[in-house]
Formats: sequence, C-alpha cells, structure tokens
Amino acid sequence: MAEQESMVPVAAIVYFLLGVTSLILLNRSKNRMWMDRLAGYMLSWALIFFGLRYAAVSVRDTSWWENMGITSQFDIFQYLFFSFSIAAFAIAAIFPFIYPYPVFQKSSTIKLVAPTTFLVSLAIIISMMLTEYKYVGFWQILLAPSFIILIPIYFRFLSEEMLEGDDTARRMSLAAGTMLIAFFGQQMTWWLAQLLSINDEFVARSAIEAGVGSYSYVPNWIGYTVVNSLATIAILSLAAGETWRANTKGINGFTIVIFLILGVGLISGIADYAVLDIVDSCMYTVCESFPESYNIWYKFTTEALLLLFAPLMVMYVLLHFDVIDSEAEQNQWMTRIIVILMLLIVSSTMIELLQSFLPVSSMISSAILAMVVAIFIGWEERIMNALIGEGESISKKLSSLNELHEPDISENEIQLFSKSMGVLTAIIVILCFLYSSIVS
Amino acid sequence: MSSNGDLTEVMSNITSNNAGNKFTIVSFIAALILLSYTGYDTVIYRTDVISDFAEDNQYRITFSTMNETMQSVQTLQDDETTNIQFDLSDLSISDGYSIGIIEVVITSEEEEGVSVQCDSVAGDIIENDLTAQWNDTSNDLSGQDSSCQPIYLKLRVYPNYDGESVTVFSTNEYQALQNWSQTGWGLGALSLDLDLDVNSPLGFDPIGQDSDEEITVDVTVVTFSVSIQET
Repeated sequence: MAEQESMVPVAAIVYFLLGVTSLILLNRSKNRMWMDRLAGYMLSWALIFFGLRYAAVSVRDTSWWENMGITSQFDIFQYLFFSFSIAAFAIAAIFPFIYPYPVFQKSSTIKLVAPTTFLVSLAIIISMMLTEYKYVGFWQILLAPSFIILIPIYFRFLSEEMLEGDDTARRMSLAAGTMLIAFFGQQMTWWLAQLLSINDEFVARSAIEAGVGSYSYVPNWIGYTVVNSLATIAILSLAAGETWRANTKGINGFTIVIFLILGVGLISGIADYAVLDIVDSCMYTVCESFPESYNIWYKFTTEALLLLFAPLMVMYVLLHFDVIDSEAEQNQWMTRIIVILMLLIVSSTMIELLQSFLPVSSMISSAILAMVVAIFIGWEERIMNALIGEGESISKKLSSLNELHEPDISENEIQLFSKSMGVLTAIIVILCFLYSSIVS
Repeated sequence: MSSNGDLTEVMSNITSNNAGNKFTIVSFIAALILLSYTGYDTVIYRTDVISDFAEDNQYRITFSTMNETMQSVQTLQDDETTNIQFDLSDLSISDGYSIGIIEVVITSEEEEGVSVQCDSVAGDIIENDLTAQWNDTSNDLSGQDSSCQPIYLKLRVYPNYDGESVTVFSTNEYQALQNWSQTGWGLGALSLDLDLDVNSPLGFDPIGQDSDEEITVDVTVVTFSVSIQET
C-alpha cells in the first residue's frame, strides 16, 4: 500500500484561495446589506486564517524545514499555526451574532465587532503564547455561542415552514444548519462516541501520548467536552428536524448530507468502541498503534470533512444565500472559475487519496479524474444554477419579516473589519517571528 | 413595523415560534444532560486516571538467577587451535527465565614434561549469529594464560543485565518491565576457539613428553527471572 499523502497542503490552498477570492468578490458587491457584507468579510477572513494555519503546518512538514535541524519545542511555524487557529476561532465565536440571524443589530454594537474580534484574538494569542499553548484546547468553547444561537434559529424557521407553510423560511433553517455543520462538522462525526461517553478515553490517550506535564489538563478537557457534546446534540437535532421535513417535503441535498454525517458518526462510534483496548493500552500496558483501516476511515471521513468539505460549505453559504453578488457581470466569470476550481481540487484530492490505498493504477485514476472534469464542465450550468440560481438572500427574508434593523452604518465602518484583520495578520507574523527567535 | 434592533426584541423574534421553542428546549436540555455525564467522565474521572501518570511511579526490579552449566574437555596438541561449539538450545531453561550472561572458565593443568612448565593457553569467544550483546563493553571475549591459572571469559547476552537489582521510573508495571521482557536473546551456539602453545624450559624437551595439554572448558549460562515492586 502506498504511503498516504497529507491533505493539509491541499486544504491550505483551498481555504486561502477561497478566502481571497471571496474578499475580491465582496469588494465588488457594494449593493449588499450590512449583515451580508459583514458576514462575508468574517467568513472570508476565517477562511484566510485557516488557509494560513494549514500553510504553516505544510511548510513545517517539508524536507527543507526538517533539514533545518530545529530542536526547540516550538518554532515559528508552530506559533503561526496556533495563532492563526485562535484568530479563526475568535471570528467563529462572533460570527453567529451576525449571521444568519443578526443578534447585534444596533449600529453601536455592529461597530464593536471589528475591534472586539481584534482584541479577543490578540489577547488569546498572546496569553496562549506565554503559556506555551498548554491550555489551547480550552478555547474551543468559543464555538458554544454558535450552538446557542443557531439551534433556536434552525428550529424556529423549520417549524414555520412545516407548521405554517412558509416555504421561504427554509432558507433560514438551511443557512443555520449549514453553519452548524461548518462549525461542528468534525466533532459531529464523533456523535455516537460522545453519546457513549468514550471520547474521554481518546482524550486521555492523547494526553499520555503527548507526555503528561506538570500542569492540569482540565481546562483543555472542558473545551473538548463542551464542543463534542454540543456537536453531538447539533447533529441529532438536525437529523430530527430533517427527518420531520423529509416526511412531508421529501429528501433534498441537505437531508442527504445530514444523514451521511449521521451514518459516518454511527460507524465511527462502533469503530471507536472496537479499538478501546488499543486506546486503553497507553494506560495499562504500552501505547499500541491503531489499525491501518481505522486510520484510513478517519482520513476519508472526519479529516476530509474538516479539510476539504468545510470550505465548500462556506462557499455554498456565500453563493447560495447571495452574500456576494454572483449575478453581477463583473463577478460571474470569477465565481464560475472558483466554484469549478474548488470542486476539481477536492475531487482530484479524493481520487489521489483513494489511489494511495486501493490497487488502482494511475491510468485508471487519470481516467476517473477526466470523467469528473467532464461532468463538471458538462454540468457547469446546472451546478452554478444550483448554487446561485436558487440563491435567496437571508437579509431580504429578514427584511420581509421586519426583523432586520437597517442601522446608519457606512461602508468604511463595515470595511473596518477587513482592515483590522489585515493588521492582525501582520501582528501575528511579526509576533511569531520575534517570539520564536527569543525562546529558541 | 420595522425592527429597531434592540437585543430584547431580537431575542423575542428568535423565540417567537412556540413549536420551535419546544424543540430548542429539548435540544438544550439534551445538551446539558450530555455535558454533565461526559463532563464527569472526562473532567473528573479521567483527571484521576491521568494523575496516576502525572509523575512516573518508582519500581524496584530484582532478579532471581538460575545457572545452567555445560562442560567440554579437549586435548590439544602443541600449536593446535580448535573450535568448540556449545549449543544453547540443549539447555532446559525454566519458564519465565531468560539468558542473562554466559561465563566461560578455561582451565589447564601442567602435569607432564621434565620441568612441568606451564603451557600457553588462549581462548576466544568467536562472534557468530548467537543473539547477544557482542559490542558490550563489559564483555571479556578473549583471554590468554601461561601460568596455569584459569582464564575467565564473559559474554553479556541480555541487554544491560548484570544481575544487580535496578530502580526504574515508569507509568505502570508493564512499561517498567518492558526492558526486561524481551525475547530472542541467547538463541544460537556459543563458539569458542582454543589455542595451545607448549612451553618447555629454554624451549627444550629432551624426551618429547610435553607435546599436548588437556584443557577443560566450563560454560555457565546465567538465567534470570524478574520480580517487580513499587517503592
């Protein structure tokens, strides 16, 4: 079996490319409402930060860096990895207050989004740097507001669609559900393991493998427990909601995605239970490695969902809910290119991964890739229509319900978010460079 | 009426659907229940388990030994070199025991000739495919004597075994014993070269009586078993 290559460099390209393109498209979409524009900037910068985070990992894995012979515990790329991750999580913490149902609607609070994100990111980045990232797992609780806000929105609009016959309410529940998957997708695939309460054994194994230090793991474990539990309830809630909807409205793409994740979580939970002896070996004997088939399963499910499909979901939100003006003449060609490019990158990566463990010759995998390209070209119109044609703006729906305040807020004040994130990027790079030089 | 953006109004809008609220409350209660029992397992129970690993436990490992012996008596002619093989698979090593060290004693007794001058005897343990610590600094693989004294040779077979009890720091007994539960050491045959050089006074043995020597080779195979105690 060939050695499996990492998806991380591909994820770095996908996230970064999508983030930069979204920023360009947003700058050409001046006619969007404040919540669309602010949400667009937040998503774009979160994508860029994730892209930079994976780029840092990719560079660190190159033979060039390995040959540098760095022996210190932390190097610049590790600092960059953690710092950009924290910055992305800080955006994710504030994002549900803006989209799809803005909790912050007063101009005074909207103006605080940029400085708050900036300061929260910087404060956590510096504190984690000074404590050598011992408690970095704790900050996963930043995802808790997503659950608390998005679940009521999902159920409110799902109920309105199902009980009151308001078909336009679907776009709200769909947006809330998609954002829940984008935020909790990875942990959703562990729902059965969390329900059986066996994830703690995996967490303990990781702690022992990492080398039990002289500090408490409790803050990290609070973070893991909160995010795993909320993700479990989120996927079960979405499954319940989509089952209800599918009974009367039929199955659609989102229903399939939900049940796919549910199925993956079911199989993963059984697999996790089956390898518990191996997990516990660290405590009672000596750490044994997981079977290769178990690692392949997680690579194709949890890892692929996080690295490849989460950015596609964000792209779906940006395009389908008209966050960016994809209909505008100047945006159309770029939107089409980026959509096809993203789908092709993800498809080719999955084919390459399959080839790494299946006895498929490169001739056959090339032929499969050619078929995928042909399908994407042939169905380009159809794919674009599915993404853009049926697109309905969330902000317009909220306006029609008279639930969206239109505050007096200027374009410059919205763009302040983008500018502050640009400054934050520069500060992170300089800070990581200086700090890694000092401590090494 | 257009929204004024107040937080209270926004929250009342989000929770304006009764059916939706019921689902939400069920989800939140389920999340709280899940958080409570998984939180207990992770934060409280696992913390106790992990605290056992926070500092390595100290273990004292002692060895019980049992010796197996083999002997070979060879008569060598002057200037003769001979090779003797001791097949270790011929030994019956008790269950739970491993071969630690092989000790060889080569003795010769000068009883012939006019002057009863001691002959030169040399012994070498020859490196072969016997699984042992061939490069260990404590080994004595070669010896030579011309004063009728025994020659002592030693080969360490099991890594780091010297018969002395050791203290180790480890997370559990299994890991503490890991270095002492290896298999595969001491497989093969011990190969020994013997060399004789008959010595006569001034190199002269007028009646040619002292032309050979009887050499006894005693091989002691030290086997050990391990016992462990947390200190």
